[in-house]
Amino acid sequence: MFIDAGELSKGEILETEICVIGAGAAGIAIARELGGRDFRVLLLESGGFDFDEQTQELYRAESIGAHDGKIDDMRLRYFGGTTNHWAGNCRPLDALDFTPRPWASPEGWPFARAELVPFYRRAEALLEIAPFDYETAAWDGGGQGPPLPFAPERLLTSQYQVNPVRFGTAFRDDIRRAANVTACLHANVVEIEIDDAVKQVTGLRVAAPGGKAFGVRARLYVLAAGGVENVRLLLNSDRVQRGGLANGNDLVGRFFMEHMVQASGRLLPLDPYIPMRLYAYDQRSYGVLTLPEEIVRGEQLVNLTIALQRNAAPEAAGVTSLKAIMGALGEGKVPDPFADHVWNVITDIDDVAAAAYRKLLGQRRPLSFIRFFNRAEAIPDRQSRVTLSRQRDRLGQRRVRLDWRPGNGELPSIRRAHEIAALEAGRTGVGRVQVELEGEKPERTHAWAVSGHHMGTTRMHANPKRGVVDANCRVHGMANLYVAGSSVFPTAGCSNPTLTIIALALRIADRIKLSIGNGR
Amino acid sequence: MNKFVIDIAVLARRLAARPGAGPAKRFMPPRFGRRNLLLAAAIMPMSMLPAFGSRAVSLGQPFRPVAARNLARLFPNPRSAHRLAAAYLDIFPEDRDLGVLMDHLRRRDKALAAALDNGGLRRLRRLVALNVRDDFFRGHTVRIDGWLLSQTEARLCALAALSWDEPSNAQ
Repeated sequence: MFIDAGELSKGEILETEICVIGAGAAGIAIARELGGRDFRVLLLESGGFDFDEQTQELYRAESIGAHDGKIDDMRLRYFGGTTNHWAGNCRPLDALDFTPRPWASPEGWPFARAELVPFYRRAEALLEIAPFDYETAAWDGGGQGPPLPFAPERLLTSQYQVNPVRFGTAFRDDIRRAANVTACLHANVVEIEIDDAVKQVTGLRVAAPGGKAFGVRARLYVLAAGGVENVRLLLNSDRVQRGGLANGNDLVGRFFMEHMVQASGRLLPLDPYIPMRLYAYDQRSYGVLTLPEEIVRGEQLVNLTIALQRNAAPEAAGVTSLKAIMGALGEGKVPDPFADHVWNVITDIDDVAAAAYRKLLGQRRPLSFIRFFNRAEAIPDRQSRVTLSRQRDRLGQRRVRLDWRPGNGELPSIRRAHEIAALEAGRTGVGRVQVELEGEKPERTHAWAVSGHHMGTTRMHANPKRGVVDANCRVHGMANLYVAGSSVFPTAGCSNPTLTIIALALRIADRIKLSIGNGR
Repeated sequence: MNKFVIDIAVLARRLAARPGAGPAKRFMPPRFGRRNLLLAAAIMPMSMLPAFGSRAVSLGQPFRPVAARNLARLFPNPRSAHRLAAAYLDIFPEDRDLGVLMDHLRRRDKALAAALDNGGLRRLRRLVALNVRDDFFRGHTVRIDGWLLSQTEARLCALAALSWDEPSNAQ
């Protein structure tokens, strides 16, 4: 069921077994998964069912690094969280993302990808995407045509699946119907309270509309507020543990990562009608180029993908004019300027004839070129971090200060990947590639594009001196606090993070079932 | 193999075509810049189209008239070829010599050099295509204005442009 925090009494204490903070992809996935159990689940959400400027303003942050400072634009603070505007791009992390790679991430994840595979499958079921195979070689095609004819030992086509499920609407009824789940809207957690021994969470202090405050007491807590907001809540909860909750080793907020995204080049196809449907973004699955693991490891590169965007050749003036003439005549009008349009048609008669021929055969317009967009994993950097600023929001919470420091360590890998793509395009006769990377041309000064994927700030590691959460996503040293979301990613990989966020959330839900079932 | 060459010809013709004219131009701003258009037209040089618009080629040694004619046919768009050649020779000024370029070509593939000198156009195109592919396979490439090109195609382009510009260099 749903309740509104505004209806609660001042100082009221909500008792529950499980409290999930944040109703985005992770929080809703966990609450839904725990529905129907014989214990109570409380899901706290800062916003309501719709976007609200005042609530969204609580996200406002300061940027002192490379980020453009608009990290609050990327996230949404109402029921469903950022899934309310995500594009639905799903791809699991690659196996190599989990393994230690001294040149990219010396530590990797505390488990292998195989550990997540069953949870990826469940996440896919939740998102109604299938099958679990992202390699084009095993893809049935779905009428999308063949991949580019590159040698798979040099350049692969991998698949994304797409379904932008809006968790706030898609699973609202599930939450409403679950007798043991209560979702409390307009509830802003302002402090996670812990015992003096810094061993467990004892409760939450929550702000409600109208200046009221209430409390929550639970056996287990899950922090699922987002890659940046998770940090903010931990650092703001510093009454007992100076420097912030779970921050005894000065790790909370560090290793902030975004995917390194930029328009990176273009392919000039030798055949303007080369089949490219497989790579078109506007469908339930689409291909991206990626490097085989052997090359990534052998040449010590970071992991990355190259997305392809088709650009059709501009329409000839004569064709446009003919369309204008036909359209106007169809409406009983004369196009203006009529004489110029007729002149265009006459002087472009070859192109007009070619266009008519194509239309007759059902062919599309020829390709002019194909744009490359790279998405690379960021090398985790301790200095790239989220801290708190001196500014406070209307609830008295210190705001976020982001110091994102994208390095240049990824550039050689990105350059090399595009060189491999260019060599393959030339070798196979697909075309010629122009690489346009940041730093390639001195006159190009724009910064990395912002992916909106905020990762790494409460990183996972088996060793408490090197990570905030353990392999089960439980905060080191805290018996009853889990962290869900991309903040636990120790490496970013090059896939959009939501599928992995959901897989990890379902894994946490399973741990909770076990934990509560065992009476711990 | 021939398909590869034919595709290049089609592309070169398409890129050389004007995108539009007259009042409707405002409907279709060109997305592929003029500079890139010229370069692109030049890097697809092995056209099957007959040469057009190029002036007569006058070459001395080591070229024979057949070689001159073949080069002109390989590069039907002299303006684009000049552009690319100039960019290539800026990077490799030591190649600003027809003899040096021909030596490169001979060392790369004697059959190709011979075909340029006295072969038929069809055989020449086949050998060019083979060498271009092999260049990309072996990484024998040059980067010009961000474009990764085969050494062979870039050198042939430079050879053609130099021969048009400075026939006296052909010593």
